[in-house]
Amino acid sequence: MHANLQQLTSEVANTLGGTDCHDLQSLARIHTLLNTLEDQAAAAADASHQPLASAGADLRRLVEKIILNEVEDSETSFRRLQDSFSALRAMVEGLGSMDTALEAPSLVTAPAAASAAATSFAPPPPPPAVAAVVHTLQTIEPEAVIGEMDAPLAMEFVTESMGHLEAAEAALLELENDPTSPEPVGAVFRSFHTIKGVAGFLGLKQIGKLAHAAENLLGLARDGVLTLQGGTIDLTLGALDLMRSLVNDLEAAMCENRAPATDPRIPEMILKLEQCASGTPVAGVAAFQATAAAAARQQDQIVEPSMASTAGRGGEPAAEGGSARESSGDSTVKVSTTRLDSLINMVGELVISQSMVQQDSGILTADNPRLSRNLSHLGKITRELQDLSMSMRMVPIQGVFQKMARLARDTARKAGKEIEFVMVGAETELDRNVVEAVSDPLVHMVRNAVDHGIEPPDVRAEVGKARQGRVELRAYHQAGSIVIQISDDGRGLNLARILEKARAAGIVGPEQELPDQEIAQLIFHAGLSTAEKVTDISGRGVGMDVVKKNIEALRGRVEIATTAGKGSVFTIRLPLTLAMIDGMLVRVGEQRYIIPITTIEQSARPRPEQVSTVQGRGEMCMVRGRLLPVIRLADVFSVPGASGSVTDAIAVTIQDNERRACVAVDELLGQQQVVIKSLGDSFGQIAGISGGAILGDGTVCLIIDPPGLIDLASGCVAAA
Amino acid sequence: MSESFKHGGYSMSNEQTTEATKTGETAGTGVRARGGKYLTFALGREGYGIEILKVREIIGFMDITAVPRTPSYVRGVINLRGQVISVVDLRAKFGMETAERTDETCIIVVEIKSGQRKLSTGIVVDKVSEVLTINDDCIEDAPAFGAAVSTDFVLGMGKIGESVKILLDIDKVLSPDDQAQLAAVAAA
Repeated sequence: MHANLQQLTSEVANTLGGTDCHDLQSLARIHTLLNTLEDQAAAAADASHQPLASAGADLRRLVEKIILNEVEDSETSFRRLQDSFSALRAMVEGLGSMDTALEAPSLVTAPAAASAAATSFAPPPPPPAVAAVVHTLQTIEPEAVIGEMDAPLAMEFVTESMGHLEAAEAALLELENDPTSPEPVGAVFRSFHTIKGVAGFLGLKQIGKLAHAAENLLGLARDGVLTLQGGTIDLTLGALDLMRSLVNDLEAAMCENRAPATDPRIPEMILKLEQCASGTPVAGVAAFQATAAAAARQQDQIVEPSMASTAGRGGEPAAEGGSARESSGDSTVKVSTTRLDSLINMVGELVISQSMVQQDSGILTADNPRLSRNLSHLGKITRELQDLSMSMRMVPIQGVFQKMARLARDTARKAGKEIEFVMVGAETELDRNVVEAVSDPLVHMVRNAVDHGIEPPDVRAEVGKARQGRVELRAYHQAGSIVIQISDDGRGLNLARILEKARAAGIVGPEQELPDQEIAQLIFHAGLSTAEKVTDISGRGVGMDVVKKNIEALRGRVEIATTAGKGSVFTIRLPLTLAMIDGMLVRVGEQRYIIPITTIEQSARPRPEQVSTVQGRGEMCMVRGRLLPVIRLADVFSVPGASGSVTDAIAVTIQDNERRACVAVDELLGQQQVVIKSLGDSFGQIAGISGGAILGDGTVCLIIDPPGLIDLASGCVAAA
Repeated sequence: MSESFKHGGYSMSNEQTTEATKTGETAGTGVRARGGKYLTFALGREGYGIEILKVREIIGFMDITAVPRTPSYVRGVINLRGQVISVVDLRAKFGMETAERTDETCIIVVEIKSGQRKLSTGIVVDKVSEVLTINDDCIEDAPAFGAAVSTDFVLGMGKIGESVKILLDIDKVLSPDDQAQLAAVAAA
């Protein structure tokens, strides 16, 4: 009994410690816990628990008041709640000592103090709305396991709901700019309505109820009874996030073959939605404005940041955004990625076969105009088919951009910044796995731009800038790669301080002078960005080394341009697809290998005086004043027929971060774009080889993994 | 039992195969039914067989790209319609002397189980013979040769008239664990 109470109180204490008066989810949890505590104490046979029960009840009522925003000043009430709870906790501890037959003098005073503290704020009768919370808590039954019959439907529901939620989110953000626009309201309403319908069909009670509550509220908004703005948008976005987590859980539940979990946040969210929608419409609006005002107060009187999320190009954002949505309504077919990949493989093979036929000596010498005309027609179709198949893997970056718009909005609110978030080129297409992989680095960079780049409104006003900062996310294609730019008109990087810190950390020598560009690049240095102080001063560098690593893993690059006081531009360049690589085809003996172009620094035939040996074995080559080890591919990979002397070979200088080495090859056969194929299935990891590629003649060629090769070569040297 | 059984149990009839397989299954006390269709091929003068269901296709010999740092019996990789698959030289695997490449040399692409996944691998053989139905009672366990010859990957010995086909358990012949182990040995 006592152990139970102690556990309950410590749980309340934990929740209370990690929350504030605006965190309704935690408050709802505390409410539930206090309720249990009250019941348990009341149920105790021992009369000594009665004061505890009544103190618990008082506290619970205080929590209710705070939740419903019925108190004068929620901050003070919350502090009062914390104080009273400490007293209550002392009571519980006191009871514990009683159990062990010890004196508990505090017992007489503590409950009185707790009750007094609480009662002064809470009139006894619980408001009906709270009864509704309790009611809803009880009425939402645990979900059932999705039956086998329903599984495919449910899976489809998951994907569809995600799409609906995404669309709803975009519409809500648009609505925030233009609350009167009827179209987005309708879109949000429809999304929730559809989700509700299917959820009802599948027997998903939680999702159904939440969607129903949200739909009711949105219905009012659609009918013009209520305007969605400020607090209501926050609330709807909250409901949307909760819905998303429910859908995610549903998906996980199906994979693990369990029932979807009951989310404790739902009843309270439903209550809030109902509160919004209930009562006279006018009162509802008033309540919203009150909530919005309260929200503004919460943010230390900061005016609500306004957000402009536009999918279009600068000038006429709304119109372009609208058309983009319409075009995405193009009817689609869902195809599994494995099928798609094998189709692409097949087309690749078709291209190879086609070129083999076309270049066959029998055909080249044949004097048959009709044959050659038909063949060139075949070639044309094949090329078009190839283009088409490559484009099927491409998806617009829109989804990621949408996420960033939401992130920027939330970050701005939290940080008290006013920003205008502009998106350009959301329709730019790139490979779907690049889209997925680029999301994480972008989160860091957008958050940095809003949080650290843009100054607080007052500071901006002082330096003569518009109060509203501008963050622009732009994507476009350039020379076979995709460029994503994040620019802000904030304060820019403090280069002097970065350099200072880098010197202190020993990354830059004390006398060494660096151009601005290189100083800016220092924020990607792991040693620098982990230093707490630097991130505070420079305002950047939070996880920037991680950002750089992620982008390099995608074979991309990131650059910075910054002007003090004017802002910064981060430019990410990524290959359009991860499936292809630009490589240098080299010959070693009778084998051919591909070296990724991005890792090659230079290629040259070494002069004899450049080559020196160590102990007659380890060869070194002097390249641009640096002595680099020579890796003979022929030796490392045991390839027969390679030339014996390094001076007959071509030394390709490869680099992996700071490490460099010369790879001795017999011949450079040319630069080529190749499709990467995994060898993993048959071999696992092979040192020095990252994969295979199929060349134009249909043979397989191995792709060299420079870091692995350098490791391998140095390992061999060590072993020898 | 039908006529064909008396003649070395060699039959191309499907009906009997099914029957034989059934018998094998019911009679088998933990022993796998081995009767069924086999693709037979030759390595030197020896005849081998692989369960037909494991065979994906037979392709002519083509240029094989050597992969460094793999066991000597791994010839390398080839491009099978856009998919890169490894090719194993069975002669090398079984410790036989290497043979000249002829017009009949070809690659049998088999599908082997590797844990949960299926994996395509090519095996180089001297000559592909034919598809034979071998009934269960014509398959005997491999005789023990002592330590000199490993019979772990032999499913059984199929008697076809006077000749004998060595029926391979291709999953075991090409088990990646085995390959990994051998690779480790080769590297040491």
